[in-house]
Amino acid sequence: MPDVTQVTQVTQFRCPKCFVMLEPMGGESTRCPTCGWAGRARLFRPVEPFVERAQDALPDDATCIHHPSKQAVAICEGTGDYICSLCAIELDGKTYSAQYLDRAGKDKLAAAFDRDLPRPDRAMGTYLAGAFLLSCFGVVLIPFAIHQFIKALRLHKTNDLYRRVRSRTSIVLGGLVLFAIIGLMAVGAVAILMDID
Amino acid sequence: MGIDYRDANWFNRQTGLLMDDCLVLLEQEYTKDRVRRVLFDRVESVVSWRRFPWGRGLVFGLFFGLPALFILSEEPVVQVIGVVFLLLFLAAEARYLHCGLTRIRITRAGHDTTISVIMRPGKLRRFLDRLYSAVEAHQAHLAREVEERERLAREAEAARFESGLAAEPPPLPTEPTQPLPELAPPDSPPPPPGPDL
Repeated sequence: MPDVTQVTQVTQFRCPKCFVMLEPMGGESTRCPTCGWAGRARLFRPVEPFVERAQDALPDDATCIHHPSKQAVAICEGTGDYICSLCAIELDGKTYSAQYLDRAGKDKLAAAFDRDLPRPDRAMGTYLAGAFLLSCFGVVLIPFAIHQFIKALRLHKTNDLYRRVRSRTSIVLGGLVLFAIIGLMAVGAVAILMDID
Repeated sequence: MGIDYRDANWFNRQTGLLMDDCLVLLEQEYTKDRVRRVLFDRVESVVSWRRFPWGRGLVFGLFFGLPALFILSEEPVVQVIGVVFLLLFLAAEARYLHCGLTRIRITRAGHDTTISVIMRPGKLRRFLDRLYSAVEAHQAHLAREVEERERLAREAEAARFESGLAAEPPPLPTEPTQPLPELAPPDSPPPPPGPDL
C-alpha cells in the first residue's frame, strides 16, 4: 500500500515579534497580548508531499533496471528503461531516472533548477547609457548592445518568466532607442567627416 | 499579467510575480535576476502587518527636507529650488503616510519568507486577496489529487486481496475530518475584497 499524504488544518501562527502562538480573529486584526503586535493572518491547509514506497515486484510485474526486486512504475524518458519509484524523478512533466540525470542528463537537471533569470534588456540599457555618455568613444559598446537586444528577443520567445517580466513592447522600444542612438552617431560621424573635407 | 509587486528593500530591489502554484521572487542583480519560488502546496499561514517607514521617512527628510529650507533664502532662484524640494519631500511623506510599509510573511513548511511592500491600500488588498485565493485553490486541487490517489490505492489493494495476491484485506477508508473547500466555478463573481489593514 503506498504511503498517503497528509492534509492538515493549521489553527495557529507565530507572532512576528515575540514568537508566541496566536489564533487569528476571523477577518479582523489580531493583537498579540504579550507584545502588542497587531496584524492580519490567514491560515491554510498545507498538503504534505506524497512519498511512494517502492513496491516489491510480483512474478508477472515489470522490474526496475536498477532495483531488480522492485516493481517498475515508469519509463525513463532519457534511456527508455523501466524504473521504480525510488529512481523516478519528474521534471517538466517528464519522468527520468536519477541515474540518467546524474550522468547524461545533467543539463536537464541544471535547467530544471535554474535559479537565475538573465536580463539582457538591463545589460542593453547599460551599454546604451555608456555609449551615450562616452559619445564617440562609446561606439565600441554598440555591438554589445545589439547582441543583448537579440538575446532579449530570443529569451522573450523561450522563457515564460521573462515574458511575464518584460513585455515585447518594452523590448521593441529599447531596440528603437538603440537604433536611434546608432542613427545619431552615424549622423554625427558623417557631419564630422564632411567638416573635415 | 506583469509584475505584481515591487519590494521596498534597502539594499536590493525585488519584484514578485503571482503564479498559479507559487510566488516567484526576483532579486535584481546587475545582468540577471535571482529566482526564488515560494510554492503554495505547504503554505501554512500568511501574516501581514503595517507600520510607518521611519527609516525612509528620515532619509527623505534629510535629502529633500533640508534643501527645502532654501525657500527661506532671499534669492528667487534659490527659493524656487527650495519649493521644488519641499514639494518632493511633502509628496514622499504623504505617500508613506497613506500607504505605509506592509510586511507580508509567508510560512511554508516551518520556513518564513518575508516581503516588504509600499502599496496603496486598495492595491495591497487586491494583491493579498489574489494570493489567498491562489493558495487555497492550489491546496484544494492537491487535496483532491490526494483523495483520488487514496481511492485508487484502496481499489488496487482490494483487487489484489480478491485475487489472492494480498494476504490482508485493505484498510477501511477514513472519513476526512473536515469537508474539503469547494472550488468556485469559473464564471462565478470574484470573492469580496478583504477588510482594510
